[in-house]
Amino acid sequence: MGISIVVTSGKGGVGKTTTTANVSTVLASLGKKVCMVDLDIGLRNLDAVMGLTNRVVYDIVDVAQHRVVVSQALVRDPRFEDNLYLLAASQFADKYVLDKDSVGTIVEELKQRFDFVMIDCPAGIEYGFQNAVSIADGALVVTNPEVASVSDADRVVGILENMNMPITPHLIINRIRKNMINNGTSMRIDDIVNHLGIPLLGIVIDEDRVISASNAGQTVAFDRDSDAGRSYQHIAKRMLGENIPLDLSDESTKKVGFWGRVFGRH
Amino acid sequence: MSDIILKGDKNGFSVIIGVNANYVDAFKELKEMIMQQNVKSTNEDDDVINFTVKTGNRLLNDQQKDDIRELFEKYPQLELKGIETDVESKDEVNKAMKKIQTTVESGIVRSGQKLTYEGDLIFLGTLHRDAQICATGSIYILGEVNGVVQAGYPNNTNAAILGNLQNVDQLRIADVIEIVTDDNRKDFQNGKFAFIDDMHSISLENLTNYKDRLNDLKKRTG
Repeated sequence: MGISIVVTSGKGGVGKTTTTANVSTVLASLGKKVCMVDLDIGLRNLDAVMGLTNRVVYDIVDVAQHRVVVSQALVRDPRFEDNLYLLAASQFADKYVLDKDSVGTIVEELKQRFDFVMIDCPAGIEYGFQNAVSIADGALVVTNPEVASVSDADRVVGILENMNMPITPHLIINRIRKNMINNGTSMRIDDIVNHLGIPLLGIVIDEDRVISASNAGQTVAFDRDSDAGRSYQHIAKRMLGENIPLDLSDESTKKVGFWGRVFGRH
Repeated sequence: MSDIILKGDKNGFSVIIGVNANYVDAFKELKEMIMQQNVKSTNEDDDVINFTVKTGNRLLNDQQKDDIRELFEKYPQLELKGIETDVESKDEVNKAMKKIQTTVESGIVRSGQKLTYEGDLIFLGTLHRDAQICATGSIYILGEVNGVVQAGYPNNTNAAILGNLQNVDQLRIADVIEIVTDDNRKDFQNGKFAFIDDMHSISLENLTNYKDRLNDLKKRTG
């Protein structure tokens, strides 16, 4: 029996889908059976970020309305053998066709088959969000180091805490700007962690490679030269219980050394 | 003048309701005629006699049809083969017309939009990713398609998808789905057509061969 984890943020555009895709792919590459579930009905993206759009035939709404069974709607990612599957959101249906019961039944069924059910939550704290978080065993709260995002994350953490999930929500700080950290104009990471008061699972720096990878339908986590990719590797390994210290200097604020300054490398 | 005419041929008897007859009178006459016939042949070993009721340029409503069926059910020796008419209701005609019509569509179909058509579709526009066009007949693509193209919905295996298949994500004909991946993308070009082959899977051919394909279809369906 696996566990279900919802990736949520409150605010839009902070990197829920990217986080879902990267963490899921790393977990799959480490031999875990993972199923990604896109619950952003009507504005689905996870299939596009994964480069699986062309393979989607049935979606979660077809399953909820009993047109097909879950296994028929699952899209296998051929890059991860038999470890990674996607249950796409519907792009055509209205989000109100799903409710807590139907989503709950589907996720429970997936938990029988998979080690991790990673749920990509829609932005906001409305109907779609409620469906997504109500059935999750745990949550990854994604935020950016900026006031608006942290404030929305705070609201989300409050809602999650009232739900008493079996696993306490964990924090991922995404899109950290190296240069802003270096010149001290960014929000401080420990301030954000202290403010939100939930365990920090990882930090990810803002990198062009993240966007170019998802444009190509790939995840940055397997780009050896990418700091963000390495962060996602670490996050997934921490989820599996590995003790990897959070190295700020390595993961986000790599000081530009002498040779780096000379050659302009960052 | 009689309101109904009884005619016999090798398939049994036809009852023709006259063009100028009053329907109520005609029905009454039919009833009386059957009663007389039945009196004459009461032998249970006799073959069942087949009847067809022909209404000519007259359309019966469901109630009237039910009355006729009920009447025949009373007599086990008589079997009603059907109620035939030479005309169709406007609704039926419109439905039939829609099946064979061709729609021309242009413009952009965006993500999350799904356009469905009765009959064939000539698509001049742009179909974005995550969008869908769906027709009961064939689809001729002159524009650009990136999303899902579905012909022959829901079960017309004779439908085809023709023209510019470059960049399409997924083709569906009747109940068959072809997913375009990096492995087979090179087969999907402009100037091709996709159809359901004898193995009931989607095949691709050059447009120049479409005529042969149509001839094959004619042979198969007669």
